[in-house]
Amino acid sequence: MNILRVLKYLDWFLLVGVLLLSVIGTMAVYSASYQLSAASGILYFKRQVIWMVAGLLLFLILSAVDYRKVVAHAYFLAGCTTFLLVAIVILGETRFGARRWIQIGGFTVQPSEFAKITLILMLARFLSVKVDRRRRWSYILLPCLMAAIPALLILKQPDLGTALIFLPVTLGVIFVAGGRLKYILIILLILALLAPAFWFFLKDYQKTRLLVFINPDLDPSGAGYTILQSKIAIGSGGIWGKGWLAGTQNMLSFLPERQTDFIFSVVAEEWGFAGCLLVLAIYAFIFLRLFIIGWKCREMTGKLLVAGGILVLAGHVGINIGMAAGLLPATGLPLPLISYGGSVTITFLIILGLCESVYAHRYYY
Amino acid sequence: MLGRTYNNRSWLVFSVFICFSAIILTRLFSLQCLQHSNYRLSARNQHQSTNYIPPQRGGILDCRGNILAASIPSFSLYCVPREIPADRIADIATALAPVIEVDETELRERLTGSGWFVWLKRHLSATAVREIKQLDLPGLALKQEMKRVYPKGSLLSQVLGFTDPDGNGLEGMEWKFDRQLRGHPGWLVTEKDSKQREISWFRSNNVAPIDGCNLFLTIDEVIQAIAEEELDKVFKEYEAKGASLVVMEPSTGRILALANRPTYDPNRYTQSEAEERRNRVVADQLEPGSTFKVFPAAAALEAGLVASDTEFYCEDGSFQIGGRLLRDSHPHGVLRFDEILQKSSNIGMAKVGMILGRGELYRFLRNFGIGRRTGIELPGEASGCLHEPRSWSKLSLRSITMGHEVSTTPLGLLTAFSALGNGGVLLQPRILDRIESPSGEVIYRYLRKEKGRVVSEDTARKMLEILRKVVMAGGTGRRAFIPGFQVAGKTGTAQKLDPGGGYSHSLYYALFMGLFPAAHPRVAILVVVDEPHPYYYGGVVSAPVFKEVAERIIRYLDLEAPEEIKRS
Repeated sequence: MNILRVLKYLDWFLLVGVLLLSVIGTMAVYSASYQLSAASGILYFKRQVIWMVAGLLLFLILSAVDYRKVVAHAYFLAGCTTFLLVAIVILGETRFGARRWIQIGGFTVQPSEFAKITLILMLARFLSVKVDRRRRWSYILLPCLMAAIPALLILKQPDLGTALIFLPVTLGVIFVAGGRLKYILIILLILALLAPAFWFFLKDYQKTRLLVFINPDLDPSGAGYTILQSKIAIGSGGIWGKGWLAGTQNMLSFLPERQTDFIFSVVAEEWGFAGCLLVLAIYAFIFLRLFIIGWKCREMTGKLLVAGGILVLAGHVGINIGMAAGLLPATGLPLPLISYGGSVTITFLIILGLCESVYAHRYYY
Repeated sequence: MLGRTYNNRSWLVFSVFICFSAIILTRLFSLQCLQHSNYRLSARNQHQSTNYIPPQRGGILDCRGNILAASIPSFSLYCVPREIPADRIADIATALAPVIEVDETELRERLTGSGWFVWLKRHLSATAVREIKQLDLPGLALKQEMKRVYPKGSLLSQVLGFTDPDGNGLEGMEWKFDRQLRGHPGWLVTEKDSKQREISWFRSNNVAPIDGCNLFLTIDEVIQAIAEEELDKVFKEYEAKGASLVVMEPSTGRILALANRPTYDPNRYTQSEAEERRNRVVADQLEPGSTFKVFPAAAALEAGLVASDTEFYCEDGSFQIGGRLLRDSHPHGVLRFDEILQKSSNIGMAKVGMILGRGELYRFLRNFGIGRRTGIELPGEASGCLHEPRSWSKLSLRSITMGHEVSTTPLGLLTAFSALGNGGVLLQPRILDRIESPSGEVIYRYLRKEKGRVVSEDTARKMLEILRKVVMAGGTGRRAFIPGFQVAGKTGTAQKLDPGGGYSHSLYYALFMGLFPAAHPRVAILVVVDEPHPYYYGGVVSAPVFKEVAERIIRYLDLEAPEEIKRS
């Protein structure tokens, strides 16, 4: 591994984009957690900075590591996360009515986040190795099965949002890998037909969330509260926003989950439409760079790894903002690099680090 | 080949991204730019609350500045039902019920539920407040409010009226002058967080309240107390249905006292009945009976048709007129004009009326304000009733001269009578002297208001001379005689209308109205007793009340007896 060579071929644009977003993200977390920190004594902002720094270090280390060596261990890593997910089902901590966390060496870890990394590693590996069988059903069904195992375990926690993100990512990577469009459409059709049946597997609170999404006025102080508050925060921000640390809905604690799932509403309230445009522009810039990395990469593993990364990141961005803006039902997904959270932040930076590695190693293959 | 598939298909994914970005941007634009004002309003409604600071309600005072109604701070108890643990409701209700004197079952009901605010008891006593603080029960809180108090109890209650627990005037002056009394609330805009906690560092836009104005009445508390006391005596002694007494200053139209029976305590108005709250002096219309004879008599005198010594044959007590027999209570032969009033002869008065004629009678009575509201600053004033001559029957003329087929309020009657004490000029009666701002600045002063001359000064003087004989030996109002003072008065015993039709022969109003000193009248008093038992003559029931009240007023005002009488 030649550090100089890596530095020479590093995608500085992506790095700058990631750094910019990290700065905006930590500022948003500072504001969103201001009252919570004051109330609980937990320094959310300090923690987020530590995770951010740790994540960025991992980003840089990973960009220097040959991604193919990582992908080579995809199944082993996937096995590890699956093991952790099973462990959670057995002995996980219950917080906010869900078992999502596990203690590892003093850290509280959320394995479902890391499962997102192992998913795209697994997909990159399987779909690039078995590329000669891509006209077959197995090319599609086997990765679906691989994705389904962690997804179902996550669904059991329960964490509907994270579990659901596995579907577009898996099908998306299969699609760009060259899986038969007809088969993919058949799978989508079957899923669509089965959708009503899933209704009965949903927990009550998940059902109300969906119903409330359809009609937010159903229960404005209960289930519809979150989405209504989010819309009020965003809408009251206006064009230029109320200013950092001056968002009333944020600072006066009207907005629930504001440092995690609804952080975009804080940004929108305090920085206004202009701030939203800036954040979206940075995301767009990062995605554009990732697409370019995918296109410039000359071998399938790297291309698919980047595709997986794009789909995971974009899926989160789209669903999170769509949810905050009341376009999608509330299914808690974090906003990459902005939402508060250790596992989350580190996961996204690892994924971005892998993509950076694909770019830095583009001339190897 | 593979790479090309990837590139082509990822372009498709890229396009999907673009589409989704467009949707999100549109949505954000719509929320933040197009619907911004709506959401800004929702946000403000959530976190901003405007606390109104209630103004201090103005007081009601008598002409000497004695307080008749005032607002003082008091505590009210409310609960936040959602903060009360369900298993403690029964305990709390049991502990609280005796302290605040609310039924335990009802209390339990109010404590249950998911509300944020339920009143338990408004305006607690000081001991109750102390006990509640000691009990220290969850979910209960005290709120300071202003309580309306009437320190003199039932004194002047029908005039004062009262307010509801929120300080809205409901009756009487409290209602009529609510706008002036209530003042303007100030406000305090505060920011609240999602748990309704006030965030002091966001505090802004404080506006101080403007306190209400003070009403100064023309009432004199001492005279009022005299009136109430004496009226109460007669009301009880004669087991009357009701009674009213008005004291007026004829030269200004100022009402010095206004009392009604039955009465109530405005501090406990919820326990009162409508009958007790009615201000009979302005709201009740009655046929004034013989007291009314004063007005046709004055009219005849003014018209020059009669003189004090004009003689009338009173038909020995029974006179066929208009197909009906008219009787006097005592038969009289020939009576002089002044004697007709002194003895209150119906027949004599009917003849005076006949001389006067319908048109003139009507015109004079209208000028005296009969059948019209006086325009006093009190709510619910009735106008009384005086029909136009064209709708009079054959009997109307004689009925009206003796105070039937015509109605007036006690106030209207005394006001008309006072015109004679004011040299023949009718005044508008007044009960409100002035309105003062909280700082003592006079905002509005109610001035003496003349409504026009009714009779000449000479006629007025002559009438009072004649009416002095009413209280002298041989007159119907002998019991109103005050040694050393020239009292001019008139008695009245009015048959009440029988609900079954016609006039009742057992139900009467006993009236007496009088003023003194006749030469320069200072005080006019009207006493009305409704359905007294067993005696019902105005001269028997009401005249002594006049005398008692008048004598006490004389002592209070330190009025001097006129020189000539002192000498004799």
